[in-house]
Amino acid sequence: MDSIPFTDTPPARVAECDPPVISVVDDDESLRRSLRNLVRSVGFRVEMFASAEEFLTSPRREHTGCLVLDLRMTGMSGLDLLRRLAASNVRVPAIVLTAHGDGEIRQKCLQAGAVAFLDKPFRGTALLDAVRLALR
Amino acid sequence: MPTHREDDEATLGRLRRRLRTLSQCTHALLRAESEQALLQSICEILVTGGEVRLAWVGYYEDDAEKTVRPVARAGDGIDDLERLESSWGEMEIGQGPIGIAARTGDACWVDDIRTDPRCAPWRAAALARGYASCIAVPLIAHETSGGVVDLRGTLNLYAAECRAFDESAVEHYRGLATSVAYAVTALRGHLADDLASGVTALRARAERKRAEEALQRAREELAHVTRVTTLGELAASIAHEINQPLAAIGADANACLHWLAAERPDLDIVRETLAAIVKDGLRAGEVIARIRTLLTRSSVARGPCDLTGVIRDVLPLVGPEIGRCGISLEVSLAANLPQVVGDRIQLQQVLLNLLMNAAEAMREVPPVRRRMAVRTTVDHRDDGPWAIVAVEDAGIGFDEAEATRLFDAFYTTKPGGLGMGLSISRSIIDSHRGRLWATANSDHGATFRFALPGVP
Repeated sequence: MDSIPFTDTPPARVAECDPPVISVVDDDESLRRSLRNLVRSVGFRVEMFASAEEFLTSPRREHTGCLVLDLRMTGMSGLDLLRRLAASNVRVPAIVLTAHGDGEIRQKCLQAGAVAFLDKPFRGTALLDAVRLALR
Repeated sequence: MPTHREDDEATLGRLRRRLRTLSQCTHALLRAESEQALLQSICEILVTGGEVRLAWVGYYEDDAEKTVRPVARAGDGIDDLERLESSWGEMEIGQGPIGIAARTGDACWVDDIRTDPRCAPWRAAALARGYASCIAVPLIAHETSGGVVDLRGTLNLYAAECRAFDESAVEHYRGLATSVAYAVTALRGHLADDLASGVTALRARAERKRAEEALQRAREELAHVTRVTTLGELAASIAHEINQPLAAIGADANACLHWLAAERPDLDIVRETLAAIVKDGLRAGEVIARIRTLLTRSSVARGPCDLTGVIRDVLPLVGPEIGRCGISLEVSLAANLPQVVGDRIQLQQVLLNLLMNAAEAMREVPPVRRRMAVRTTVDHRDDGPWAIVAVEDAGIGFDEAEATRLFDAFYTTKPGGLGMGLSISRSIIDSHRGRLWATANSDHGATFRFALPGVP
C-alpha cells in the first residue's frame, strides 16, 4: 500500500485559541457546501475535499481535528480512506455519513477508526453533537 | 416469508411462462388445419408451459349418462383418463368442476382437491397422480351481439400446487377457451363451406384481433414488471440520490437557524442558503418524479417526444450506479436532433435497459477499460431525418453465435438475468417504426443503437 505523503512529520498542533478544523470529504457538491454551512454556523473552521483522493494528497488536511466523510463516493470509498489512514498510522476521529442498509460496512468502518455514524438524511444537531464529541 | 423481491420474481416467472404459452397458443390457433390437431396442440402447449400437469378437452355426449368424452389430452396420467368418468348430468359424477362448468357455462375451479367435497368421486385417483388443484373451463364464446358460440365441451386442467388457479389464471384460461371456441367453429365452418363460413371467418378474424390484443396487454404487463425489477436493482443508488439533497437541506436549514440566532444576522448568507435549500428540494423531487413515471403501469399516449429529454431523464437514475461501478461516462448529444413520435416511458425503458446492460458488460473488465458513451446523431435519409441513439461500452462484447440470439426472449448471459430486456426493447422500438441493432466494436465491447424516424 502506498504511504501517505506527510506521515513523516506529526500533524502540527492547533493552537488552543484557534477553533478546530473540520474536514468534510464528500463528492456531492451540494451536500459538501451545506455541511460547510452547518459546521461554520457554530464557529468551527472547515476544509472541503471533493474526494478521498483529494484529501489524501492535499496539504490542507494537516490541521484536521475531525473528519466528516461520506461512505459512498465515486472513486475511493469512505471505508477505503479510513483504511488508508489507519495503515499510515494517521489517527483522526471520523464521522461517517451512511445510507440505510449500510449496516455491514459499519463494523468495518469502526475497525478502521470511525467514531460515529449518521444515516442520511441526518439531523443537523446530531452531526454537530457528534463533531463536538469527537473533538474532546 | 417471501420478500417483495421474491414475490416479484415469482410473478415475473409466471407472467413469462404465461406470455410464452399465450404466444404459442395464438400461433396454434392461427395455423390449425383440423379441429383434432388444434385441440391436441393446445393441450400440449399448456402442459409444456409448466403451469399444469394434465390438460384435456372433453365434449358432452348425449347418451343416457351424459358422458364427457375426452377428445384431446396431454400430460401426466393420460392413460387413465378414460376411467376417470365425468358427466355433465345431475348425478354424483356430474357434481365435480367439469359437470358444474358444463351446466353453468362458466369456469369452475377447485383450490384444494384434498378437501373440496366436489372432488370426492375422483379424489383418490387425482391425489395418486399428484394433482392438487384443477379447473374446468367451458369452450364457449359470448359475443357482444348476445350470440353464443358453444362447442359443448370443456378444457380441463390439473396442477400440482394448491390454489394454482387464481383470479389472473382463471381470466387467462377463460380467454384461451374463448379463442379455442372461435377457432374450432371457424375450422368447422370452412369445412361446411356454406354461407355461415363467411360469417365464421369474420368471427375468427375478430378473435385473432382479440388474441393479439391479449398478447399486447401481456407484453405491457411484462414490460412494467421488468421496469420495476430494474428499479429494484437500482434501489440503493436511487435512495442515495434522494438522501443527498435531503441531508443538504437539513444541514443548510440548521445553519440558517444558527445564523439567525446571532445578534446581527448576516442575512445575505441566509438568503443564499435558502436558495440552495429550494434547489435541493427540487432536486429530490425530480428523482422521485422520474421513478414514479417509470413505475406507471400503463404506457402513456404517444406524442411528440424529444430523445435528448429522454436521455436527461434516465441518466440521473442510472448515472450514480455507473459511477459506483467505476465506469466513466461520456455523453455527446447532437444539438439538432429531430423530435420523434413516441411513448416517453417506453423509450426511457429502452435506454435504461441499454445503459444497465453496458454497465453489466464491464463488471469483469479491468477498471481502466470501464468507459461507456451515449451519443445521439442525425441521419438524413430519403424519407427525412432519423434520430439515432448509440450506447457504446468497452465490455466483454459478444461473438458471432451470440449475435444471432441477443434479441431473443429468454436469452441471457447474466447470472440471474431474465433475458427479457433486449427482447422487450426491440419490440418497443419496432412498434415505434424504428430499428434497434447491435454491432461489435473493433477494439472492445459492443455498441447498441436505435434509430427512430423524425417528425417532418
